[in-house]
Amino acid sequence: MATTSKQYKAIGEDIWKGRTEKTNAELFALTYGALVVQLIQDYEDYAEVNKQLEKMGYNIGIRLIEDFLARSSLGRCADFREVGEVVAKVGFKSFLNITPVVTHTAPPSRPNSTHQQGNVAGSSFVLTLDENPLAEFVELPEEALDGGLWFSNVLCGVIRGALEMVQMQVQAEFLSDVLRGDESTEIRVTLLKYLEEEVPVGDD
Amino acid sequence: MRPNIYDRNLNRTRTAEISASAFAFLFSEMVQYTQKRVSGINDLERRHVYFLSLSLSLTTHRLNTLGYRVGVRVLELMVWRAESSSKTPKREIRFLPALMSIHTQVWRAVFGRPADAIEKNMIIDNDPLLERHISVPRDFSTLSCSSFAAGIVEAVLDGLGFPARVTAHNTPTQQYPSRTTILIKLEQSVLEREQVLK
Repeated sequence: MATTSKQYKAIGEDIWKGRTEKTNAELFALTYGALVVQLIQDYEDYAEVNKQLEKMGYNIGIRLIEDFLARSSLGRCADFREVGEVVAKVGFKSFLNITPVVTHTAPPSRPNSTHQQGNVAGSSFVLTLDENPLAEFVELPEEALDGGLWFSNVLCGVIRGALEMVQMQVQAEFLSDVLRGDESTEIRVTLLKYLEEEVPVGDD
Repeated sequence: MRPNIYDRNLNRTRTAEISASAFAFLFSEMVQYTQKRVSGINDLERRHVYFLSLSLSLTTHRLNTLGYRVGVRVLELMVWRAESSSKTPKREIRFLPALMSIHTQVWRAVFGRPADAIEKNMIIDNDPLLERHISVPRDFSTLSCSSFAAGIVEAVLDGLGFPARVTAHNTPTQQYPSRTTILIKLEQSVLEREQVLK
């Protein structure tokens, strides 16, 4: 990679310290909690709530990417591996002041594959969150656990929306969540395909 | 074995920060969700003045409710933290000191600075954090995103023993176009009690 993991970490810290207006994280956590409770009241079905949270995250992501690009001035990533590094060390750091651990997974191997390893559909990375600013004051009740609620599902939508705006179609989903009693909180992001840049009508 | 959430230090995240834009994006999406949930899809319907004013008041009410949920917890945290570090914990039983503490402590805890002004039954914010990144569509010009803040205030007052109806109003001035006034209408029982304590 042109830029190392350590360098991305430094870039993320730099942006957080110098180019980010900050606000109370507790208000953020409580507001998100109030929203999730509202969704549960509105939909009464946890699978639907998960879907709505993802959708809202998507709406946020497609706008958030601009803010991110403006503050980070980073160029295009060379491969999906680099995308993972940037999302974890620069993205999460500059918005939520956390740096999830990134674990990269090569796509399932195909015979006669001559593609560059990091750019094949099926490449994925897993983000492991040691802390989650959305879930600071949260304990899930039995029925939410039974119903399969992914409390922080908005994050998956944000990732999906933001990456779509930079021409990547991905699937982002929670694998585990400490709120559900799991060992760790993990989000897997899988590359489905690269999107063609749309050529504006009239351009020759 | 994961530590129990109830064993966590209450002061752990007291000064924790996230980016203002993360909050703005979340709040903006929350307002949009609230509006969508309330307003009809039929454009024709939306032009009916009655329907519009009804949907506005429903949206305001829902934002107020969201704020209320936050306010209940803001108060809990505030009281636990303030009183546990005080040598003489006390409880305000008069309205004006309670209003002062909202203007200063609650605003500082939630928005990072005290509110700008306070009057008999009003809290004034010249540049509300909540309005900063929201652009309200023309139809909804009387919608105040500070209904959320009004909900927080209502919850704090309820918790302190001063039930009231709290509403937010856009009161712009030349100097402060986003100026917002939070109006507190105390319940009759509180007004009577205040008289007795005079």
